Amino acid sequence: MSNHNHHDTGKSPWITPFNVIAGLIVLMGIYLTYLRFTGGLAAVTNLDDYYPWGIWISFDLLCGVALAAGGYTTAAACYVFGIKKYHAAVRPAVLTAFLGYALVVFALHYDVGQPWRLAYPIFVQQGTTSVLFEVGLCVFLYLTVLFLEWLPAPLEWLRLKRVRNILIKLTLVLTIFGVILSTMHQSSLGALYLILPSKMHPLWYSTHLPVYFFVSSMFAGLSMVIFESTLSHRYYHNKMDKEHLEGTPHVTFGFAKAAAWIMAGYFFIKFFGVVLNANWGYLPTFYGFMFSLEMLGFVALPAFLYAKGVRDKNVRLIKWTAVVAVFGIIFNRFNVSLVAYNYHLPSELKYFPALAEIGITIFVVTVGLILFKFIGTRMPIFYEHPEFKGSH
Amino acid sequence: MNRRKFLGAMGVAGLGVAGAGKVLAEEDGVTGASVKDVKGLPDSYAVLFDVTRCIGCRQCEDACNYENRLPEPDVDFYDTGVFEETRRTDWKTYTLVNQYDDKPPGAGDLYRKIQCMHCLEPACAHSCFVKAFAKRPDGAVTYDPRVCVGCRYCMMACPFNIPAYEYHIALDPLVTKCTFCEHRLKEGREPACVEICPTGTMYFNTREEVLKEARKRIVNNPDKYQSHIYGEHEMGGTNWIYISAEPFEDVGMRMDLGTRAAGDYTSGALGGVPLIASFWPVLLVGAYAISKRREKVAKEERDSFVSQVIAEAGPEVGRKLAERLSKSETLDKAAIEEEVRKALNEAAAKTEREDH
Amino acid sequence: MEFYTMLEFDIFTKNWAYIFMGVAVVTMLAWWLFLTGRDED
Repeated sequence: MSNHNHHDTGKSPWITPFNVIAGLIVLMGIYLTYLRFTGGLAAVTNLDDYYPWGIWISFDLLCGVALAAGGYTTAAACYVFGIKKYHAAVRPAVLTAFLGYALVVFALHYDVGQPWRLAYPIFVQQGTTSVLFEVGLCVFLYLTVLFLEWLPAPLEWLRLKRVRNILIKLTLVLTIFGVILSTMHQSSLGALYLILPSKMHPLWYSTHLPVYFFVSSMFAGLSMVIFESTLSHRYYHNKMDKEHLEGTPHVTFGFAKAAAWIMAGYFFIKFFGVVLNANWGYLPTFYGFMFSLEMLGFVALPAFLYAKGVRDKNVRLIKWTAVVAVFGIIFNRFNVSLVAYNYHLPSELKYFPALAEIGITIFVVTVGLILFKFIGTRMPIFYEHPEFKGSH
Repeated sequence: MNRRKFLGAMGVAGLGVAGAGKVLAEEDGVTGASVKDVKGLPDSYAVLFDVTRCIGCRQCEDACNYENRLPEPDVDFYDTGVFEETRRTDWKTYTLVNQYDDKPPGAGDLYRKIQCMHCLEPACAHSCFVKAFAKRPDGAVTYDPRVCVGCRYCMMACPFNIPAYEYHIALDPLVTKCTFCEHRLKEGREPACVEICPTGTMYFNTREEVLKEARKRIVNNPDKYQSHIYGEHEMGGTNWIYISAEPFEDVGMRMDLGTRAAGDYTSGALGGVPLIASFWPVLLVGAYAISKRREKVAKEERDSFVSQVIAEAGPEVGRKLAERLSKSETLDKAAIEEEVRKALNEAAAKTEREDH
Repeated sequence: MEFYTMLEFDIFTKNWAYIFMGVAVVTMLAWWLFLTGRDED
């Protein structure tokens, strides 16, 4: 569209509420980064020998990867299953996923002791028996795939036609490779916890943890796309072209329907986890309460609300349900990695994140928002570049 | 105490019962693995810790600290005040002795030493994604700080909560744990903690000999000892072995760890990875081919309708119909027919209007 | 093959598994191209 000219932000004032708040958070982040790399993990976290993994793993890694699953679900729906009306949703979803994964890797630099060796497992010494090796390798490869999937946007922005066209030809291969890699590492994030059965509460420990993580990543990704599109429509409405605006209701209803359907299946496979391990006795305990809350409040309820939203053609309801579903994924990942983990430890030995730890997580998320904003306002994400229209 | 005597005898007769259902290597006591090809480490060293003999003097802690050049402790090694709380290993403590209070009256003081168990199939080694941990033929589980990334998955994985971390160090913090005094093992010497013990609580020998000694003590004193050799099969077996008069839970040792090695729990999931790599392309490309095929059939159908409309109502109407069909992208035959009907009706209405 | 520990066995098998996974994925791609190479469209 002719009014989508990327210079139109040039005159907007610098002092906006977003910029001020984001700027303050970035300043805080820089200060906390300084503390982290001068005082060690002890200076900014409550991690200890019983809790080597805190919220940087629970949120930044586990939730970050799950919520970035919109990249592979949307691309697969459009290019593999041939649902062309989701085409306009692919670019925002791929951008969200690419930034999500990039930030996961960024956040890991704070968490590990030797960030300069982060590539060691791939290039120096491969610990192939480790589930974490599998996660690391897949995240590394998938980040590359997402980068290549996202690259046409900046290339169009820079009008580098030839490279862009080569990448577009690779779309299908990249999409399929992306789904394979996603299946592997989304499930492997759950498999990380298989090696410590004696430390995990039986309600969440199951040999099917990888399946639970993979299946839940699907509706996490779908919900995140709906949620992200709500926000984008608020801030980028004037950037969106006709295809994007007309495609959005299809995406909202289609994804809500798919999420509701997958959530129903997920509810039952989790339920059979309880049946097969005879875990009924744990239900009337604190852990049982958390588990039931997760299953009823954050799986069954959003599944029902999605279904109602689809039947009633209620976009508003679907958008709010997406928020519940996203929160539910976060709740589940925290339950696995912090509530179920070390359940047998006395309460005085349990972990609660330090303020600075939460601060760095907020900083990382803010960096993601700033990058999304920068890219979304400049590059053809919500519209097709006029010079490249229809050539995909 | 007949029951105890009976169980004591069973402890000898029924060795390996805990590993039932698995194909254990011929030589018991050398492997915890469940694969026939795996020989085990026949000459690996082990230590038998007899809980009944420990008096809580903490000289082993001192010797370990000295031997491994560890930092000054927070509390002196002769101070028994540390027994007030239950401690664990940390970055400057590879081993420590805890006192356990909930002992029955008259049982005497109850102490147990904690250090790396040096598993036959270590969870830390299995979980490490840079192979920083290794199981040595002499039994020691060692750590290579030169490749460590500091992800701390080893600490998550360890069922005995042994590896600790230098959280206070900004650059190059390391995982710390007992080394089995591997530098001494290489010289054929026992670990420093074993050497210094004044009460002979620890017995150092090959794992086979250590297990024999443990059985002998239990058989000779069935009333005294629990009929269980801790570490013989726990988590696939360990090179540190414990026997005790009191139930092991009472000295802070979990009896619910099971006999499977840690790596066993992930082998299923890791085995699934190649399945995904090889079969997902089949399903995904299959789905793609099906959707492609449907698209092609639909397009042919559309084209045939369009040419039919062109024949009946002229190229102008046909062009409009084609536009509408490609926009709706429908693959449903009924919907296409509906569009065709509409287009023909429109054309008919138009000609009618023109006629008037 | 002889291994002293399950760990050694796992390292050996998983190393090859990862290598062949790469081979399998590339082969599948090539195989698909071969399979559909003479398709009319």
